[in-house]
Parts: sequence; structure tokens; C-alpha cells
Amino acid sequence: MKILIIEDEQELAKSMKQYLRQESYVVEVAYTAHEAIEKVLLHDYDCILLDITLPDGNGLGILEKLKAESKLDGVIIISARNSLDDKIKGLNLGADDYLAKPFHLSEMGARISAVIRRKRFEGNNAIVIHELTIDLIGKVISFKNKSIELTRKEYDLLLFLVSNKNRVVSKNAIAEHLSGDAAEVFDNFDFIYAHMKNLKKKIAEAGCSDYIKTVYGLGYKFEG
Amino acid sequence: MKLLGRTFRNYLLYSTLLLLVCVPLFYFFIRQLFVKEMEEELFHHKQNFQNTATYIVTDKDLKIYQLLNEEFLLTEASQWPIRDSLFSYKAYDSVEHEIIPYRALKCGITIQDKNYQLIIRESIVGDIDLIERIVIIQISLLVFLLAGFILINQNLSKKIWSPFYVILEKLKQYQIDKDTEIKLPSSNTTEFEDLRITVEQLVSKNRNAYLSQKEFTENASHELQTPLAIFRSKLELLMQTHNITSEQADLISDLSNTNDRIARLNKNLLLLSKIENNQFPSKQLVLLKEAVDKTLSLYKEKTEGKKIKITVTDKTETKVNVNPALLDILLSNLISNALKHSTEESEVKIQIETNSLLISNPGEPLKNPEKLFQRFNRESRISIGSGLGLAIVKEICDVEGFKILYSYTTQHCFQIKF
Repeated sequence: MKILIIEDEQELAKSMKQYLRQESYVVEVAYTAHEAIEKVLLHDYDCILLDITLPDGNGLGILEKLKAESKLDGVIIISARNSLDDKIKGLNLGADDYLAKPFHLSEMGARISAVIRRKRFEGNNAIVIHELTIDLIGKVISFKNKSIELTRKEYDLLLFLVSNKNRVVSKNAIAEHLSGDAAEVFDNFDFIYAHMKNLKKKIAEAGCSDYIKTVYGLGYKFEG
Repeated sequence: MKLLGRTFRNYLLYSTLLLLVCVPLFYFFIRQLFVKEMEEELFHHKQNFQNTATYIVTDKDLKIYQLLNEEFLLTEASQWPIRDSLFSYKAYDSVEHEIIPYRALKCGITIQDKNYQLIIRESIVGDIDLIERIVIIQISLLVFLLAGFILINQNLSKKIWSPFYVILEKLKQYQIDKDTEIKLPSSNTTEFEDLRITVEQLVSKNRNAYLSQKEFTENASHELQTPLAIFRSKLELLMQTHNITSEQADLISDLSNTNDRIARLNKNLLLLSKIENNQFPSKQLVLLKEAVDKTLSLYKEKTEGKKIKITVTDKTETKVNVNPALLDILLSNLISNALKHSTEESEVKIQIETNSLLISNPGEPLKNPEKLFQRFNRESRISIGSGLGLAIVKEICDVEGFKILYSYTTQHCFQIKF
């Protein structure tokens, strides 16, 4: 799986690259719009992470170029501006998702895997991990063809962990992923513990072994 | 006090003083002039008398003369010679039935070798009469003067002062956050033209300062997003490293929480400056109840966790013309604020009435309610809020033209009037 990161902030690009490499992605980085256009025209990528504020031009220009060349790889726009206009403009130009800075790397990981799954496995959209099957269309999971009843939040939580499998996902990232802006009001992480407890219980009841590990003080990790 | 009123008061004061000084002065001078003239007249009479006296031959002539000229009083001299002397006295006038003041000349005169004492008198105007007249003249002068002054000034204030009042009115209406620049009419009067130029320069300087300050907040927040993203990403990478001790894990977790706090703070600052910069212009009609329910669903877990009961009453189906994104933020901030400051197992009430929304929750009274909507005002440092939530609420209300009121009786109560 090939991913291109177009980001002028070298340190951020480095972090993103390092995080994604752990998930066996092949990652390339372009620091300027010029460099990015060269790479995009030469290679095909499964997903492009595009910062729209670049020193030598607006990232939306690259998006237009991609559209003109009908090379619409999965594009996730990254922006420090978090403006609704940019978001709408980007999505209208064919971008698949929008990520506002500062984002959690695990959130980025989840978005990338969602985009790639959507592009690659259009109809047959399911993740199989160990004996667990996650049906992304019906939003249900099953163990050995026996479905496990999960609430929406539990399903989101499991998918978030699986999308970042073998990596520690922080409580903060989970809180923001599950509650969005409402995360601000939660002055503790009790609700995550509650959801996690229920999720683990339901998976255990189905007879599946516990792949979700608690990492002391930090968060959780799905071992795949 | 109005400018013209102030001028008028000073004029009035000055005129009255002038009047008070002038009346005695006038009296004194006129009186003196009068008396001097009178005395000359008296001496002239004496001369005349002497000239005509040569025609008086008999005592009978003298008697006739005296009867014809009342003002000549001729008596035989008891002493001789008599020096000319002037004096004043008052006497009853039988014709006018009043006491009249006289000025008289006493002198000696010889008729037919006989010595006489002659007193020539001339009635003079009474002091009171004189003063009365002077005061009447002066007062009427004053009245005419002031009436003229008022008329002229009223006319002036309409014509000459009109640029001043226009500038004043424009300045009153000027809002630095809404209006772009101030347009003032030019004037032929140098002072007003100076004023206009100065005001325009001042306003444009202020506006530039305001804009650059606004820009600064927005730019600074933007610029902070990337370093915050780098910091957050490095922390997450640090979490992925192996053999982290529990001590290190706690430190990383604390760093991560703090980073989240900074990120939220920055996000809210950015939001605030975006609202200020009118970046949410589009409006549509939104059913208030629907928006409230949507927001409540976001906080379902929080309310369940604290066992808070929420009652929503809506009998009006009120619709609001508003930017939907801003309404969401507004409701979300107010409701989360109510939830955050409610104790466990308490009740939060949301009432939708015609064109108004009430959100109330129980709690201790605030120490500084007047600072409630100020940025970074927090009742305690313990709470995790950014200190911007209610400032954002206020800003949204300002931008959308809503009115927000806070009151406390036994509960904290926020009311928004749409």
C-alpha cells in the first residue's frame, strides 16, 4: 500500500511517516507543491495526505490537477485552518476526507484505512482479523459467523483500535474520536473505561480471546 | 449642558454684571452733567435778572416781576455783602402736589440802591425718576441684546455648527467591528475641516490597530496549530516505544492531557476570532427544539454518568434564523456549561419560549457574575474548561443579534432572546 504525505512541516511529516510505516505502508513524503505534483504524476498512490497550505502554492491546486488528470487517489486534506469553506471546497474537488490540525496520529491512521478500504474493496467491505469479521457496510461484527451485538460507540471503538492495530491508541485520541467536540466536557475518561469494559465482555462472551490490551497509563492496543 | 446654553449663560452673567455697574455709573454721570448745566443756567438767570433789574423802578414793579417769575425769590438782605452760593433743597409744589427737589443760587443784588438777597431756583429731575429711566433703558437693551444673541446663535447652530453635529452623530454610530471606514462631510470652516481630518485619521488608525490585533489572534492561533500537531504526534510516537515504565507512562499521559488542553484552547481562540471576523455569514431557519435535542444527544453519556436529569419544555415550536453551525456551538457551550457545573443527581431545565431560550441549572452563586462573559474568566482554576466557552456564546449572540442575560435566584439561569 503506497501513501504520499504532502506536508511542508518536516517534523510533522516525519512523525506521520514513522507512524504509518509501523502499519506496513510504503510512505513517501513531498515537502513542496512542486515536488508533490511530480510525484503524483509519476506514481499511483493508495492514499494522499495533502496539507493545503504549502509554501509554493495552495494544496487545493494539487487537488485540481489530480482531478484534471483523473488520478483521484484517496485524498485526505490536512489543514491548520479548519475552515468550513476549505473543507467544502476540498470535498467538492474530490477529496475523501478532511483532517484538522492538530490531529492524533491514530485518528489519521483510522481515516487512512477507511479511505483505502473504500477505494480498494468497493463492494466487499469487511475486515477480517483473527476470527473476527467487521462488516463495514452493516456496521456489525461477528465471531465465527456468530454476530456480536454492539452499541454504536462500542463498534466505533473496536474499529478505531483495529484501524490502528499493534499500536497504542491513547485515551485522548479515543475520547476525541468517540465524542468529537463534546470530548471537552469530559473531565475524566470514565466513559471510555465503561465502553471498553462492555466491549471486552461482549467479545469474551462470544468465545473470542481478548486481543485488546490495556497499556498502563496510556491507552489501549489491539494486537493483530 | 449644551454648548450654546453654556455660552448663553456666560453672556447673561456678563450682561447682568455690566448692567449693575452701568446703572450707578450712568446715574452719576448724567446727574453731574445735569447739575452742571443747571448751575450754568442759574448764573445765566442771575445775569438776566441784573440786566432786567434796571427796568424795575418801583416796589410795584418788583412785586409784579416776582409774581411772574416764581423761580426768583427776592428778599431784603439781612447782611451785606452776600457771596454767590449754590445749594439744593426740596420743597412742596402746590400744582403737582409733591415734593420736588430744587437747585438754587443765592446771591446779593442791588436794586434802586437797595440791597436784596436773591435766590434763583430751578427744579431738577428726581433721583428715583432718573434711576428708574436708566434701569428701564438698560434692561430693555439687555433683553434686546440677549434675544438677538439667542436668535443669531440658533441660526448659527443650524448653519455653521451643522458639520460639527454631523461629525458627532457619525462618530456615535460608528462601530469599529462592523463599519469599514467613516465618511464625514467636508466644511468651509477651518476648525471643522481640521476636526474632520483628525477624526478620520484617528478612526482609520484605530481601525487598523483593531484589524491587526484581530488578525494577530487569528494568525497566532493558526501558526500554533502545526507545532501543536507536531508535539501531539511525537507524544503518540513516544507511546509506541517499548519498555515504558509506569512512571514514564504517567508522565506521557500528563503531557498528552496538557497538550489536549492547549489544543482546545487554541481551537476556541481561533473559533472566537473567526466569529468576530464574520466567517459564518449564511443563515437559515432552524427549529430550536431539534437543535437542542441534537446537542443533548452529544452529551447523553455525560448526563447519564452524573445522573443529571434534563427536562426540555417546548410549547411554541420556535424557529430561529441563524447560522446553523453557530447555533450548534452556542447550544453546545451553554448546555455543556450547565452540565459541567451541575452537581450529581441534579436537574437541568431547558425551556423554549416564544423567541427565547432558558437554560437553568442548580449551583452555588458566582463570585464575579459581571465577569461571566469575559475571556479567560474562570471561577476556579480546578475546572478544565478553556475559559472561552461563554465568551464564545456572547460573541455568537453579538454577531447574530441575540441578547443574552444571566441571572441567579436559586439557580444559574441563562436566557437568550432571539
